[in-house]
Amino acid sequence: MQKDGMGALFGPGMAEGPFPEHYEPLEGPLAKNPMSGQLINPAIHIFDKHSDVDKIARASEKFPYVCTTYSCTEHWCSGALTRWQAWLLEAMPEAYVEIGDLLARDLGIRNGVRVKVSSIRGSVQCVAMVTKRFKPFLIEGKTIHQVGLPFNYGWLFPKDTKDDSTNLLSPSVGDANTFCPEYKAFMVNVTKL
Amino acid sequence: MKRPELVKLIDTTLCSACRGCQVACKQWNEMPGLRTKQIGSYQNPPDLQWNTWTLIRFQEYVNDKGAFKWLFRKDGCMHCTDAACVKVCPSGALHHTEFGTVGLNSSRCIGCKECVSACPFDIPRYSQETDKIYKCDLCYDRLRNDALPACVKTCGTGALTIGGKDAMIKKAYARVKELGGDTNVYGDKFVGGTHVLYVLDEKAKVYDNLPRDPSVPFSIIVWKDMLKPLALLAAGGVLAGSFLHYILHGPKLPDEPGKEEKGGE
Amino acid sequence: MRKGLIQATDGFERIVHWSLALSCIALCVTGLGMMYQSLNFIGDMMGGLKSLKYVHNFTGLFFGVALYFTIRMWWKEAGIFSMPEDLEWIRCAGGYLWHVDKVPETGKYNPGQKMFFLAVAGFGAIMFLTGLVMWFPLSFPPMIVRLMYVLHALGFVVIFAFFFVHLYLGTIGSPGSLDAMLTGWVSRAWLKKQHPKWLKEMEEHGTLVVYGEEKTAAKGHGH
Ligand code: HEM
Ligand code: SF4
Ligand code: SF4
Ligand code: SF4
Repeated sequence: MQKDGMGALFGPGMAEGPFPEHYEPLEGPLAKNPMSGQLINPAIHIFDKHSDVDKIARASEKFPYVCTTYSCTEHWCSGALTRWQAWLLEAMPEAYVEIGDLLARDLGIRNGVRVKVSSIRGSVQCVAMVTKRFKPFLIEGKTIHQVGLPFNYGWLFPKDTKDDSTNLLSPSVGDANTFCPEYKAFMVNVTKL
Repeated sequence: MKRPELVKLIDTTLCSACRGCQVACKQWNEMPGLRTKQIGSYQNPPDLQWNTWTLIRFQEYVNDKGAFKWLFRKDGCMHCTDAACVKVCPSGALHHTEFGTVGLNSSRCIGCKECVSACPFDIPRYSQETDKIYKCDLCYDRLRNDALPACVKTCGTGALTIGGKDAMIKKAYARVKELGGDTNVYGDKFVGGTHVLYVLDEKAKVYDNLPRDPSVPFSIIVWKDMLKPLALLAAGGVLAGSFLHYILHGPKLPDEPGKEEKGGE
Repeated sequence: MRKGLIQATDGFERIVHWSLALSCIALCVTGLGMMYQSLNFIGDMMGGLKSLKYVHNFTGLFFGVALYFTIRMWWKEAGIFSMPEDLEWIRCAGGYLWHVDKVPETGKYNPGQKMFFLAVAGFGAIMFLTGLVMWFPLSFPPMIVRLMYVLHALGFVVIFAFFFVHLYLGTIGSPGSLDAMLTGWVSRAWLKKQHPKWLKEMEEHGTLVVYGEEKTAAKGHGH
């Protein structure tokens, strides 16, 4: 993106570029970029390569599922402000992980039960939402499942929930220009509790 | 003052399930938010409640061709012309308003719950705490002041609109014509026509908790249209009969001594 | 005053009867207050329609108890038809509607009274059971509850109409009858007209209790 707010195929002045290129996320299911020899963006920022929270489990059998995070309509960012609002909390009370029905069937997970989602960096417990909306990818001939969690929960309020923050799972890697964190794609495992 | 008959149109094909309407309804009607649980659905509270008069129902649907759709339906009172709830309400708490909608005067409600089993759409909800029932009144107070219902006001996608009855029915059919496929208008063909209409994305039978062909329960017609007048008729008939008996045949008196064996009068 | 009068009912019978009757009237009146919105004002006398509903509901419980004792007490005397005289009595409508030379002699209760008893027992039980369901409608499936309302209304049609028949025949339609339920003492002439067979039975069994006379035997109708 340029200073004028427009995108451009030729983008000088960016840490990477000037031409667009496909890289895999820092932590993904692939060990090799099928498009080129360079697996990940070489210009990204990694906060601290040696800390526990910056461990990476790329193409690991221990963490086989792609995870993405997002916000629900009812809460804002971490939900630290909106979860105190009774109407919003009533509509969206607890953390959940959306799991495709095929993966849920494989794992024997029923809709509405509590599960543990873990990455190499940490784990959270939340309610499983089994859905047909998450469909598996077919990548390099392999079926890869994806799960998704909202990042609106964890800590402080309401006091009686065991919800943890989704940030315990995600890597703290920032994009090469603005340090915008890569929370849309990383790897996790899901287990029954 | 003469007011136009109003119809609220819910175009499910435009709804994004933001649930702004669900929250706006609570805000305007000062209904509390209660603690809920995540039960594996975006639909929460899981059903209409005394403090939740409208609710987006979320439903995952795969049609016979294998195509997937996430269906959203804003549930709530349909404001029937032949409203079963008004028919059974003993206190007049539920009543037809000048807009053709079905209002609820809470102060009159005696908590008998007759409307709960009467409603073909399963709408009224009972609160143990106040011993009263609750339901959408189509924001009667706002309509009276020429304001849009809170849910309509808040809807950002144009899924909710309100207007004169005929114009809204026309609008609904025009929309269905434009969309084609299985879309259809729901509401104008039964219980005398509802004052809440749907443009449904799929056939009515596809939707959870949506009766395909709702009607005022037959038992209520027997009860209110037949037995109720019959009660007065029968009692009146007996009273009239007794009176005639008394003046024509006369009461049954003990026989005078001596005439005893003859029997008779 | 009472000298020569014959005892038709004892105290227990009268208490049970009036418990049933007064609670039934209270139920009819409060029920009417809910049935017709134009009669909602009946509730105003009880502090609002909501209180009326509670008066109705709790009187209903009392009615249920009274009905139980009524049925237990009168089942044998009024619940069973004795053939063939009851059938003949019905054929000539007990002589109430047209002139009949000789009305068949029936027992303590004539078939008309038996029908009233059976209607009250049957529909009263229906009123009690349906009423209980209607009190807690959310604990039952809607289809069942809908049926209960109809039956409750049907029972009301029957009981309300029968009530006026009973009222007429118990008062001005048959002078002297009221005494049987007020004081319990009736004249021989009235008894002979109303319940000739019963009078004969009591005379034969020696169970007749005449005011001021020594009891000839123990009371006839125990409970
Ligand atoms: C002879 C006995 C009774 C009579 C004559 C009577 C009469 C009535 C009438 C006329 C109604 C109004 C129905 C309508 O709206 O169409 C009614 C309603 C009702 N009755 Fe009764 N009833 C009797 C016994 C009972 C009993 C024994 C109970 C409960 C134990 C009961 C509970 C109710 C209830 C719950 C309602 C609905 C209104 C409410 O929720 O309060 N009734 N009754
Ligand atoms: S939908 Fe139910 S509550 Fe609403 S007007 Fe119709 S019968 Fe009454
Ligand atoms: S019309 Fe008013 S009461 Fe009804 S659902 Fe909308 S906001 Fe709620
Ligand atoms: S406000 Fe409108 S778009 Fe949002 S959920 Fe309600 S009807 Fe749908």
